[in-house]
Amino acid sequence: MTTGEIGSDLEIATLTSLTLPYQLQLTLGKFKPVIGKINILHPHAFSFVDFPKLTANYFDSEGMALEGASLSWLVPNPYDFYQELTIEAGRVGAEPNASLVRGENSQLSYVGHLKNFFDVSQNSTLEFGITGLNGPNHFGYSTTMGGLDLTYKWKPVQYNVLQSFTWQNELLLSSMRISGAAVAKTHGAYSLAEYQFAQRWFVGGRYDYSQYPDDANRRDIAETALLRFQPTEFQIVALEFQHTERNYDRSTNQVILRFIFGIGTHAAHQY
Amino acid sequence: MTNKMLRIATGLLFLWTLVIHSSALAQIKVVTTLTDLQSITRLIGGDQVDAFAIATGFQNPHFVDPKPSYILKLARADVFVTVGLDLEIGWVPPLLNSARNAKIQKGGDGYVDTSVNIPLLQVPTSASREQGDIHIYGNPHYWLDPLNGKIIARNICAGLVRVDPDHRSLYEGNLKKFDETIDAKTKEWTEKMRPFAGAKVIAYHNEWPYFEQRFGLKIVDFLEPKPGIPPTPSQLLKVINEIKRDHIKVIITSPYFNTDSADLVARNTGAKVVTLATSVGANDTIKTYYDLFDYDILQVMQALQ
Repeated sequence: MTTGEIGSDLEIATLTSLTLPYQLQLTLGKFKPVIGKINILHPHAFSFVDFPKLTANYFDSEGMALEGASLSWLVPNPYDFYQELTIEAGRVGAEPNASLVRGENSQLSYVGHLKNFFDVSQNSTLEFGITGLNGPNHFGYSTTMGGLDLTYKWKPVQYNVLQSFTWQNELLLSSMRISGAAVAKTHGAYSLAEYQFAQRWFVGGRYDYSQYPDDANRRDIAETALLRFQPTEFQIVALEFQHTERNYDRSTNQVILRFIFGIGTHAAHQY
Repeated sequence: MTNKMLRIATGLLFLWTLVIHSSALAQIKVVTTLTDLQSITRLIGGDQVDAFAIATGFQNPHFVDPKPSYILKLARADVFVTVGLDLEIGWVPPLLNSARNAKIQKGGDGYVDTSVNIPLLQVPTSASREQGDIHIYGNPHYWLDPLNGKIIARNICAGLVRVDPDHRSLYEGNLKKFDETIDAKTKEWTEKMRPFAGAKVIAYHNEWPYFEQRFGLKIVDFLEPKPGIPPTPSQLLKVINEIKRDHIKVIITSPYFNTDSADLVARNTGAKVVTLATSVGANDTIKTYYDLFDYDILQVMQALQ
């Protein structure tokens, strides 16, 4: 059981161009930068109840947002696969963030991401991404990060509402200057698998390993099992069991039950 | 001598490449949401168009995954053809929003909504989620009436003429041929169905009102208790009682629905389960919009006999 504050906040607010030339697209406003796969998701769109430890330890429990501009380009390539390069710059949102802060003197944070997407077959796809990130941190210096993401999805087109399988992985390497002489070099990763065995039922498992951006001696290892039921498009019930082992504190076992109720219309999610 | 011949051969190869490339470049690139719209586009555009369909013919058109690879197709398209009426609301907006192509955005010359001028059925007077996945603009499965195919073809023809006016006469000539073929075939199909006029059937999902109206069937109930809500035991029991009471012979389902519920009802009643094609490409024998009705009419006739 947790108790917390009750409040509301503007998660994202953006204007996106639809008609720039040269296959460019510009987004302005407050947005979730393309750091791998998870950060761009709203919590309700993620299969598991909580984001991986990597996200929580390096950013915030729900990732991070930038206030600024995002420019993406569909890269023409001779092999004719989907390749999208995104360059983003902006101020970190007001929410606390373990790796980056709102810089003084208008210092901006920058994110770059290259997404490569392949149709392996009619029913399966493979996505591989590379992320780079730089911005001011709360020690008054800067943090630089690099990341890799790899996702395989299987969804038989004929029965895509009845069955699916996703295997998703991310690795994040961080280099955080914490004093004039010291740099913390840390990393985090997760691997998750989710299988939809009926129209409304999903099971999943996730393995998390994550250090903390300012301390390579602290790390969390978590193993998570998930059962999710979606009675309608507007309701999600998820039951999660998580065992977390910490090398700086006691280990914990958690059982989390989450209900989500959607009210009103909701734009479709990206693939 | 050998060098001269080599130069001539190289020159010819270069010219040939140019010819191939210029004819390929001249083709109008069309992306359609469904295979039915792709088939009609090909019948109207002939060799002048290169048409790609996002959904397959055996896929539920409400639930298509908006894969990034489709964004690439849309980014290069001259024309985008959609069923509209919110049928594709779960997957077309994220694709169009990422396509970076002004021509095919709503309002652009290359945007074709084939529902324009369709006489719609089941337009609700009020809408609430209590009614399931209802379509507030009317039932969107209108391509399952072949005469609506003529309106679809006219909308597609108009779109092709807007982006490629030089080939107006080709498109309009093909439209005329399409109209004549549909008229003749619809006459045949309705003649074949005449002996079964008024036959009561059960359907899995509410996607057959246009087909039902054109060919004189009477769909009395659905396996889904509400559109988009999977069959429930109480609904199946209700349907079983209706089939027994009214001596209903046929349960119509579609390629993308699990047949467990339909099979269960069939076992309890003796009714036949018939999987009809909702789109071109539902199976290998259905290659064109005309084949779609040839197939479905034959299936329904055989089941009702």
